Amino acid sequence: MIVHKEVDAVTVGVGWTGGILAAELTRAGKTVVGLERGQARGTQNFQNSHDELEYAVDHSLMQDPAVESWTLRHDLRETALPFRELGSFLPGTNLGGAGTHWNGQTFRFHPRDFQIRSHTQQRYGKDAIPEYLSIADWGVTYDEMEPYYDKFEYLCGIAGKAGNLRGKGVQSGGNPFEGERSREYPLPPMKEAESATIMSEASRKVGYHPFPQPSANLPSAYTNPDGITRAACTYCGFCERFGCEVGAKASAPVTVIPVAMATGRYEIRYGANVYEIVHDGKRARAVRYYDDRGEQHEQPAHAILLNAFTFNNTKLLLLSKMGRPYDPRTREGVVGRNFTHQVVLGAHSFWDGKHLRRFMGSGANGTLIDDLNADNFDHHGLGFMGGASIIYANTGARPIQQVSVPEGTPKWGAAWKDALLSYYDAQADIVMQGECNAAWDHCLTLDPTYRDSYGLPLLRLTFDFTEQDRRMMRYLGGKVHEIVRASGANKMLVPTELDPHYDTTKYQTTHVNGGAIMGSDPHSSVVNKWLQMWDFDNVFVVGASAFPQNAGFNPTGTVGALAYRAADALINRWFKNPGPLA
Amino acid sequence: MPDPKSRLSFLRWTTAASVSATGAIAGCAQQIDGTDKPSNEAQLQPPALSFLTRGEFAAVQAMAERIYPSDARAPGARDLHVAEFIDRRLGGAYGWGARMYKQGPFQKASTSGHGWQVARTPRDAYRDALTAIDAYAQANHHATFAGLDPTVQDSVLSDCEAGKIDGFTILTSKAFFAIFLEHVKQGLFSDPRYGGNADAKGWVALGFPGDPMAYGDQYEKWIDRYDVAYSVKPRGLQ
Repeated sequence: MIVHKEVDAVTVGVGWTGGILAAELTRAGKTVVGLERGQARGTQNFQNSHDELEYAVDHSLMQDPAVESWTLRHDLRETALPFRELGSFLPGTNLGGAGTHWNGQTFRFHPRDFQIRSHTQQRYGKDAIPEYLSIADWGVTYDEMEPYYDKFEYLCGIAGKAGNLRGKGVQSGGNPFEGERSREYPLPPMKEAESATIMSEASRKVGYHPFPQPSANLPSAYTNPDGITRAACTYCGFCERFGCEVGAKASAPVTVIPVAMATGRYEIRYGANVYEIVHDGKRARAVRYYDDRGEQHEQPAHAILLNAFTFNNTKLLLLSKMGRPYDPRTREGVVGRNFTHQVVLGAHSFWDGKHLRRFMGSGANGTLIDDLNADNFDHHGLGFMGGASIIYANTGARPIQQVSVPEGTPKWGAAWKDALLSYYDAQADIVMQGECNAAWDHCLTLDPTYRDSYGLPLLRLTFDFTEQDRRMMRYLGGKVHEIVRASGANKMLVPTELDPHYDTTKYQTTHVNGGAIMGSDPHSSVVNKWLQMWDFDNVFVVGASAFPQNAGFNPTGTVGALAYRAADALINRWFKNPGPLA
Repeated sequence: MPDPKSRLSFLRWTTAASVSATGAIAGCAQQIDGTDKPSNEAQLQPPALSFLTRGEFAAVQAMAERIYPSDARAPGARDLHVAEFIDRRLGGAYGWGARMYKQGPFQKASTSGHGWQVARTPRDAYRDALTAIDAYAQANHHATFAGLDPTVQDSVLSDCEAGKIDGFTILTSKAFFAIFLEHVKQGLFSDPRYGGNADAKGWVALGFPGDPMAYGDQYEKWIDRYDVAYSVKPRGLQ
């Protein structure tokens, strides 16, 4: 065992949250070691990467399931089976993590999302939440999150249009349903693609309020408050599943990591696979990891910060026996509860003879409506809560994975070929990105059978779609059908039914959440409103692992804001006076 | 950390593009020669195979051609070298299941949605499937799949798609067919450097330009010019 010198803080993982905490803490004079189990990686690695097969199909930037996978059971009775290939979600690997291959869609959750349980009961009555759902308030309000959202958006240079400005009210062209913003986005929206324009007009006809996708891909060069300058997006159409070759897409390696490095107080150690947090039941002392040669190391630190992907934050707590593990049969315990994903269906409009040049695009230069999301419409009598953002995306039209054909087209043969060629550039993609509400049975536990290449148990997911999810998507599919009709489409493909079971092979999103959720009660949450563990005051667990359930938006804006909250708490309170913050 | 100068170096090799009076993009636009045909010599030369036997290759080629047949509009899977692509893919990391979780125990799923759950690699599954398909063709139609008439081939593929072909021991015929469809799409539309999408003609038929950097022409200039046609000869990574 190689024992390293104690530092002020160690981060397990160096993606968005590990990078943000490193930048903030080192600038405040603290020494930080980042433990990254992957390798170094940056813009230089993406210079010849417009290759759909290698990156989008074969997942070149993503976690290798041969090394570490997960198991899934659809309910508590089923025997869990391993994901033998990546599919329904795509965690990243190497420096920057999944925050390198994201699309750049950067949202704030609604005020209602943070208080979903109390809001729903207040508006719809005590019985409005089905018994099988374990949804919970976050213990933090939108207003408390606002300054940290703002900070993350100015870090990235998010391009967008405010819909609700403090002191000025609703702004035309923005999202009228959003929480109040303290100021405008740092940059105006990206250029709009034609398919998004057509769908926006159709939405307006039906009475909705389209607005530009908030984008972490820069419409023009931008210098952020840290003095980091990045170049503008070329609209090459290779964002999601790819790295950005010009650095226009915000990620930790092109923003916060160089800031932390410049302080001289930051070290990233690569090939460091953390397997245990060393503790005495009250306080954590160090983390232990294997290096690439299998050698064991111990890194002591005053503050232990878990910044791995959702799954690994929870796995590490379970392996280290920290916090009471959740038991879905008794509904007691906390670590592993409220595992959620995202409920998604994709629809398409087709027009004969159009040439929309869909291959020009970025991960976030479409438009969307928020009218059918969250509690932005009356749910009385509908039999479900929540909804979805309805997104008119134009993310590249990559020909293996991003081509659809109208309803009723055969799956192969001459007619399929003809439809494929006729409609490749004459369609619009519509994504219903639905919220996913936590259920008592849906959780993360250690698998009793399957192990990773280090000999550690795989994390076992218990998850399936619920009746709530199915009702929600049927309703939304009907609404999308109306929008598609209003777009003048000759043909369409508008699904309304989810698969019979959650399918590990079908990509939903990479927005997996929960397991180490935040809240205001130690009996039902792992971390408090500052992302600090209730049971270990020097351990902070930061990421989407803290979401008690998922909203109908992309999570990265909220993940970034939570990281800034944790940084603020550490620097201004905890390091000055270590102890519980709530 | 990003260097704004790297964008300048990108621009240095940018082809100066301009919009002509007719609205077509000049400078980067090249006429696509629809009359291009592979030379007879190239067609007669049998490819060096990585994994498939000659007989298996003939079956894959014939199957892929029925999925995406040649017609007056555009070349089909045979001309686009989809079978060559699949052979190379099976001979490489994918075929060996390099990024698959391969630890046991292997168990039959009791619900849908668990994907691949067999103790075999994709190349094993292909060998098994092609053996079963040819056996089915022989038993029912007295020829190998490749030797059947196209309409009979279609009926065999429909049976495969419906899970009706016995003799598969690794995947079901239905599961194999779904994977095969994905592989055909990959062979039609992946970068030509992988052996399919011959001369980028899969992309020509779609109107996909390939690598956006191939002409040094940033889409940023064109994305909101809805009235301008963008027509270039597609190119893969150089």
